[in-house]
Amino acid sequence: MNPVIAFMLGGLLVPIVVAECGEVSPALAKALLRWGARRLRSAQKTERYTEEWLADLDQVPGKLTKLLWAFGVVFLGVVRLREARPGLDWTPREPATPFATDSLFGRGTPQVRHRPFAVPAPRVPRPSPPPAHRCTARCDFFCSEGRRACIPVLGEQAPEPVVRPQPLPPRAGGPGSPGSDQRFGSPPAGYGFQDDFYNELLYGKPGKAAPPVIGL
Amino acid sequence: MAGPPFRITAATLDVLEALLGPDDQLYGLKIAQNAGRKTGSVYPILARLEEAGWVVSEWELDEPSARGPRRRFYRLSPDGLGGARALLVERRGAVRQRTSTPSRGFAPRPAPEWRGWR
Repeated sequence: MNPVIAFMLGGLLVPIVVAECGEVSPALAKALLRWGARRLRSAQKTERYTEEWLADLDQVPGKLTKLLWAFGVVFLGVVRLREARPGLDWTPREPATPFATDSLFGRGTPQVRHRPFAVPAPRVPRPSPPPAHRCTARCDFFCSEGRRACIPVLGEQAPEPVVRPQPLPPRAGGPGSPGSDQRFGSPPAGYGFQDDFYNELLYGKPGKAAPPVIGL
Repeated sequence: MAGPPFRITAATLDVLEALLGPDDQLYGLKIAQNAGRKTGSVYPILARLEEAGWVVSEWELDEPSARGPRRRFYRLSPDGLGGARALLVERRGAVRQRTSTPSRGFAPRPAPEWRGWR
């Protein structure tokens, strides 16, 4: 754009805009104050501060200054002057519209529709039963007296004999036995000799039909 | 002695000083100018003081139909007058007179300990 035309437009437009803003500012300030007073959440406060602020606005000199002053009053005063938001009311009431129990097949029954809200009762700890039975070593896993099935104990019973495990006989080819290979420790389970294990690894298992070869 | 039933800030003390001035017709804008505070922060302070009973307010009575919206004038109640003086003496040592717009912006302010040239 030609700078001369730009200068002419700027020289005309800027004063017009400024003058228009100056004319509009008092009305904007009044509207802003009314809007801020309506945010006070109290009809009495709204009525009082609307008139008070508008009267004070008349005392403010200038036009744009009025708008700035109104901005200051609204953003500094309204937040501190307005009433606190009422807290939530948790008292149970009947629903105004019993939409919850109505269906395509008709309205819900009055008994169901007017059922109050289900407010869970405070939990009371259940008292524990008195200890009538103490499980002993004779009680098995399902003793019912102590919540397990209990074998009834009638009189004094003789203690069961304790069966001690007997030591197993030494296996042929085991460690320390004649023929075992001490270099590789004990052979794996199922193999009498270490060499049998390695022979199977190298040559595979011998066929069942083949007779055992002895003395090679 | 129990303190006042509202929060005491520097702005509150400034507003009390402005209300203690000799001017009879003190409305929100004028109080803010005398206190040197923003008008938006003065209105909540006046509401707190009024709620506590230290300040009473009343509507303007002069020519209500000719001037449009009425102004609301504030003044200290008898309880508030004594309480404000005691509070200012306790907090600031004395009651200063605030009748004109105090110096703001880049105007120098004396240090609190400065007591004049000797």
